[in-house]
Amino acid sequence: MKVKPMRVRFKASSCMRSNFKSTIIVMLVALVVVASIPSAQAFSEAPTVEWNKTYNEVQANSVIQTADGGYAIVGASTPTIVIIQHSPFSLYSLDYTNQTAVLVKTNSAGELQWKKSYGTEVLGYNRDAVSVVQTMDSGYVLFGRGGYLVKTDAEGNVQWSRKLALDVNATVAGGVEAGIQTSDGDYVLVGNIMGSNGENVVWLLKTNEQGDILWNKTFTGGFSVRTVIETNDRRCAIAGRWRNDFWFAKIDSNSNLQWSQTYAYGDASDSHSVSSIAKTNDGGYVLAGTGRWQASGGKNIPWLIKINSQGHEQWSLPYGHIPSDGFNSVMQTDDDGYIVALSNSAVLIRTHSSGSEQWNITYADTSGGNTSLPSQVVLPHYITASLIRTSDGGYAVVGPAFGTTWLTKISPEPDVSPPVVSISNPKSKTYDTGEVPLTFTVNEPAVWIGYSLDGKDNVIIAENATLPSLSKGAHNLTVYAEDIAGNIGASETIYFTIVDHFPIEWVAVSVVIVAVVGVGLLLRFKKQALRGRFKKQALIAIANNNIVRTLTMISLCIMLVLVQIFFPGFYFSSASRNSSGQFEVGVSYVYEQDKVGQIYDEVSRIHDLGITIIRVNMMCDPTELNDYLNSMTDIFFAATQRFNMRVALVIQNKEDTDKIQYYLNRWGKYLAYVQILNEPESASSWDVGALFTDDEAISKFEHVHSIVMQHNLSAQLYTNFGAGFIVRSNLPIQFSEKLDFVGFDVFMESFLVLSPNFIELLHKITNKDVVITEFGMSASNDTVQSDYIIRGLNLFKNMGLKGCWLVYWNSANSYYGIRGRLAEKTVGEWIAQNA
Amino acid sequence: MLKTLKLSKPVFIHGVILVATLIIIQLLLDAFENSFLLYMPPIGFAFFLFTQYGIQAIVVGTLNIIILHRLYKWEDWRTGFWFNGLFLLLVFSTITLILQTITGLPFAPYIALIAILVLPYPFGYLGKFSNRGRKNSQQETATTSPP
Repeated sequence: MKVKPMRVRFKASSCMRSNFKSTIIVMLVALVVVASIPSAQAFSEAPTVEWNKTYNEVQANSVIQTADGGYAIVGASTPTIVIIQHSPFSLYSLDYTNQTAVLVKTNSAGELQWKKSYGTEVLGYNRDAVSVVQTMDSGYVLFGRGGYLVKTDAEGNVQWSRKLALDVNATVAGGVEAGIQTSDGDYVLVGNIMGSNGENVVWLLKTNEQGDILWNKTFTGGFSVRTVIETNDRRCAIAGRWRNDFWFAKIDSNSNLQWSQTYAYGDASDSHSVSSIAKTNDGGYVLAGTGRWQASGGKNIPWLIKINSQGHEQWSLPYGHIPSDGFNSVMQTDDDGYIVALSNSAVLIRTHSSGSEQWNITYADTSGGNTSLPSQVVLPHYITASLIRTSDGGYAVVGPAFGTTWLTKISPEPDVSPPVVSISNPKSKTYDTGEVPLTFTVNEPAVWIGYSLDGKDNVIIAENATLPSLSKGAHNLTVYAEDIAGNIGASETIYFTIVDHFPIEWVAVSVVIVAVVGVGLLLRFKKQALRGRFKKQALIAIANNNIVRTLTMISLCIMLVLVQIFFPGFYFSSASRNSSGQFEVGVSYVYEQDKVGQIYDEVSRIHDLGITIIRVNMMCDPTELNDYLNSMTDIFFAATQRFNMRVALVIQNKEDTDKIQYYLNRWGKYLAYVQILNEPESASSWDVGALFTDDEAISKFEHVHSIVMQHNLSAQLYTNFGAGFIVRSNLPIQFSEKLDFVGFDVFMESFLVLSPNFIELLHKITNKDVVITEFGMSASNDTVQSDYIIRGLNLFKNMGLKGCWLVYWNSANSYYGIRGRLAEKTVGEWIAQNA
Repeated sequence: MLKTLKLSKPVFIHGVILVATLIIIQLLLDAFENSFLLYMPPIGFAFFLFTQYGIQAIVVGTLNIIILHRLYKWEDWRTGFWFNGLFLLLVFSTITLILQTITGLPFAPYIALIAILVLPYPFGYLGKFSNRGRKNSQQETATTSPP
C-alpha cells in the first residue's frame, strides 16, 4: 500500500525558509536561557538512584517489571571476539555466529535469578529479541527481531515459537523494532523490511495470543518505523520517520492508516526521527526523538513534540543545550510533565508539561568500559534501551554498554507537590438557603482536611460535609488538605452569597389562584351571556363598540408606554431635580498613547478645563522596574499630584494578579477611585464571543476585590456597568455590596434619552449612588459630539448625579477623544458655569 | 352638588379599592424586586416582568370587573380582564413615574400617599368606564345606572 502522509512543514514561505536556521539557533539559545531560569511552576526535586546492576554478556533491548516485582530483560548475547590477524598488528572482529537472544530474570533488587538463551531453533537466523511481555500465566512472550514470536513458561523455557511473515531482507532493514501486547491480549509487532526494489517497507502485524496472524499490513512511501503503542480507543499508533521528518500515524481497527502526520523542521538535509511515543493525559501524545541539524554541525539534538489526539502539533522543543544525543524513551508523569531518557548517556531528564527542563539525573557511570575486552575492540558505548515506570512510582532504565547491560532502579520523585483540592460545591454563586453542602475532592490521600469559612480558623472535617447555618450575605470558603509527605494544599477560594429564599411557591400559588378565579369568572359571565340574551343586532352593536373601545385602549396603552420610556429623559434634559448638588466632570486619559514628555502638559490642560478626575488604564510592567510604561505612569502620577487631580484606575476583566499587585503596591496610594471590572455583564470570557458566566464574573470580582482590599487603599471602589445589567441584574446587586458607588456607561447618542430609566433602576436595585463613568463617544462630527456631550452633562446634572466621566481625552480613534476639538472648549465652558 | 356626591360614592369606593390594590402590589413588587432579579438570572427578570405586567394586570382587571358587577350590577365586559387591568396599571404607573421624576421622591411612602389621596375619584371613573358592561335586565330600575 502506497501511502502519502499529510505533511505539516513549518516553513510557510521561501523567505521564512532562508531565515529558519537562524531562527532555530536563536530558539535554541533562548531555550538554554529559559532552562536556566527558575520555573514558576511547582518545583520537584530529582529522585535518587536506588541501585545499579550489571549483567555481563548481554546487550539489552528492553525491560519490563514482572508481576512479582522483579524485572525481565531481553536482548542478545554479546558477540564473540575473534582475532583475525596477529601481525604486524593485532586485528579483532566481532563474530555473531554464536549470538543468541537472551532473557534475564531478576528479583526486585536486580539480583539475577535466571538467564535463558534462545538460538536459531526458536528465533531463526536473527537471534535477537527486541521486546518482552509477561503473560497471564506468568510466562513470557519474546518478540524476535527476525519476525518470531516465542512463548516461554515462567522459568523461561520455550513452550512454542511462531515464525511470522517477516522474511524479506529483515536483517538488512532492521527487522522487528518493537512489539506490544494490547489490552485484548493480542500482540502487535512493527518493523522494517526491505522491499524488492530496495525501498524500505514498514511492516505491521497483529496476532492473537497463540501467535496466529490476525492481520498483516505493509506501508511504503519513504516511511521507517521505530515504535508502537496502543491508543485509548484500543487501536495502535506507530511512529518513526518519513524521509527526513518526524512521523506519527494512527492505525484504525482494520489495520489501515487512519491518519498520518509528519513534522518537518529545518532544511531537507536535516533529518529527524521519532524513537518513542507516549500517550498523554489530555488524549494526545508526546513524541521523543532526535534531530540531526546541519546548523548544529551535523550533531544530534534531542527533541520533544507534543501533539493532540488528531496529530496536530501543540509544541515542539529541540534541546539544543544537549548536543550529540537524542531522546530514546519518553513517558508522562502524574503532573503532566515528562520523563525522557537520553539515547547515548545514562541521563534522565524531567520536564514540566511545557517541555521546559525541571531536573536531570545521571543514573550510572558507564564510562569505564569493559576492561576484559581488547582495547582494539569497540563495542557500542552506553545506549539507553528502555525506560519503564515501576510499581512504586519510581523508574527503571536498562541499557547496554560495552557488552554489559546496566539495570538502574531510580526512586520515586520526592513528593513536594501539595495535594490538589477541588471544591465542587458550593460554587461562586448565590444560594437561597443557609444549609449549603460542601463537596470536594483531594487528588491524593490526606492525613488532614479542613476548611476556613470567611477567613476564620480551620474546621477539621473527614469528608464531604454540610456547612453550618450560614448567615445572609457574602461568604468565602477555602478547603485545605495535608498529604502524607506533609505538603499542604489549598483549594481555590470560593465566594458565594446567601440571600432570602425566593418565594417561588407563592408565585406559583398566586398564578394558579389568579388563573382559576379568572377562568371561573369568565365562564360565569359567559354562561349568563348565553342565556338567550344575544340578539343579532345587539351583537353587532356591541362588536362595533368593542372595536372602538379596544382600539382606543390599545392606543392609550402605547402612548402610556412611550410616556414611561421617554418622559424622564425629556424632563431631565430641561428641568433640574437637584441642581444644588455637587457635580464633577472626569475624563479618561489614554496616556500610554502619548509621548512621555507630553503627559505632564496634558494633565495640566485637563486640569485647566475644570475636570477634576482622570480615569486611566492599568499600565505597567511588573517585571521591569524602569520599564518605559512604568516611567510613563510615574510621570502621570507626578503630574496628577502636582495639579491635585483625582485618579480613577480601571482594572480590566482579564488583568493578572501580579500586575494588579505590582500596580497597587507602586501607585495605589495615589488613587482616589478603583474600578473593579468593566461591564462584567457583557464582557467576553476567554473564548471569543462567550460572556462571563455568573460564576466567572463573581469569582473574578471577588478575586480582584480581595487584592484591592489587601492594599488598604483610601480609594473608593466602583464597577462600571453597561445597559446589559438589566438582564443580569444579579451582578450589580451582588457587587454593590462591596462597592462605594456604581458606574454606568452611556455608550451612544441614541441611548442618552433612555439612560435615566436605566440609571434609576441601577440606583434602585443597588441602593448606591450612580456615577456616569463612561460617556461621550460620538460620531466624527465635532458639533454633534459637542452637543451630545453637553446635553448629557445637563441631563446627568439635572438628575442629581454626582458626576460624569467622559471617554476619552485622547484616543487612537480620533472621533472618540475631545482633545483639540470643539467639545474641549464647550466642556470647559459648561464646567465653568455648572460644575 | 349633594346629588353628584351621592352618585359618586360608588365611584370613590371603586377608585379607592383599585388604587389601594395597585399600591399594595407595587409595594410588594418593590420589596421583592431584588429577590426576583437574583433568581436564576435572567429568568428572575422574566418572572418579574410577567408578574408586573401579567399577574398584576390580571388581578387589577379581574378586580375591576368584580367591582363593576357588585357596585353597578353590570354583566359582561367589553375588553378582556387582562387588557383592562394592563390599561389601569399603565395609567397608574405612568402617573406615579411622572410624580417620582418631578418630585424626586421614592414611591414608598410619599408617592403612594399622594396616590391614595388624589387618585381614587379619577381611578373610580377610569375603572367604571374603561370596561363598561351591560346592566342586568333585572336591575333596570336601579339607581346606579350608568350615564
